[in-house]
Amino acid sequence: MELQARLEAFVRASTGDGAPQIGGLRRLGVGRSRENWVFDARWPDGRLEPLILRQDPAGGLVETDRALEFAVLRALEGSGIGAPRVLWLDADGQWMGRPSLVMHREPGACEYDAVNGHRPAPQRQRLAREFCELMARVHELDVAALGDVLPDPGPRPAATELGAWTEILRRDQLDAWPELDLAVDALAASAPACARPVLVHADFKPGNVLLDGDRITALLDWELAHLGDPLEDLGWVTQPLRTREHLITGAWERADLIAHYAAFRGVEVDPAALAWWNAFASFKTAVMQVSGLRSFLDGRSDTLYRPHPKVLRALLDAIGALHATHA
Amino acid sequence: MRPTPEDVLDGADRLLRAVLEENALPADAADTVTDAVRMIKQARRAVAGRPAFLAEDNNRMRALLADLVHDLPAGSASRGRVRAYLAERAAADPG
Repeated sequence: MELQARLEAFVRASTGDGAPQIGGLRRLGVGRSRENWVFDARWPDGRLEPLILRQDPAGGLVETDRALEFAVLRALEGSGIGAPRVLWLDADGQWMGRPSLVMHREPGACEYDAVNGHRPAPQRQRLAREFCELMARVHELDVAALGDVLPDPGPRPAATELGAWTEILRRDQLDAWPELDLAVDALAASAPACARPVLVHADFKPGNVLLDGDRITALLDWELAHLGDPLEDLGWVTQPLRTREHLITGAWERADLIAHYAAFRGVEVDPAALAWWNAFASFKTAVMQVSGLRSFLDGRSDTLYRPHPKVLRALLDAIGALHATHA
Repeated sequence: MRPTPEDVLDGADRLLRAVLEENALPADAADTVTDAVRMIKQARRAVAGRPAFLAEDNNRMRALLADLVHDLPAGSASRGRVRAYLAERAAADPG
């Protein structure tokens, strides 16, 4: 059955007699871990609602749980953080063939290069600051209000995350990767503690923020969200591999971002713990590429990923810095 | 080290065959894609004859090194030397 027919059947099953008409279905060209399709729902009262269908791909960089993403998004409704409103879930793919969810489509577009693109410098600096503040606001959300949607990471979320991504590495690797084994050992030996777990987005970047003009309208892609150490997100955005996405040379440097984050939240950032999360960010990126390579070799994905030399270099440098920090 | 040349060629072959199957291409374009599929087949045959022991040797060394790093004491000079060697190797990889 073609996608449009599947979607119509799924929407009918989810809404009953008052099902809307589906139109304008087309695939978006972004999203490496999910397939995103936009469409419009015309409700019986004439109202037109812009929606997005998110589906698991056959293979890719990251395997995530649509039901968990749906539950997180539902828990974030009304939080004011700009998470999209979700409507329907096909958790096991009985209607859509693959696990899928439908959510509201907010106005705006993703701009991967918003901080270093075509915009005037003052506007780019303001956006960079606002992205930092948005991330900090996610960390300020009341975790208790999320209910029991997300598992407790325990007293050492760093060790929990390292364990989870090492498990993915072992599952997907077909060859020995001594670089990654070295990283696993080094990270395991120095995992920092975390006094108060927060909601971690885990893939925070301008490419996951919707901008309508120069106004932030939504924060997308919550599929990796979990409870953990806020420094995980800060380590992700300050890792050397993502410099161009988050920093502006001479105007918004790493130290500026960290200082602004700390001031906004009224917290201190431990440099040794942040160095650990920087190293972990490179490790996680390399593991995603191992998974991407496995998908390609299994024939589940047509994009050829591999642990890129640039990523391995960044990881080994970060492991060296970690060693120096903890020496 | 994966992906091998065979893996890459198989992936390219898969993509081109998908284009031929899924898209209603103009006849000229379909002929060109078909030629490309044939060239990939020839390249696949050509690389199949390269000395297998090189790849096997590389894989064995990588596996031994991966085992070794776990045995080295944390913070030891040996571990630092292994890290520096791997960093050099990654820097020399054309990607």
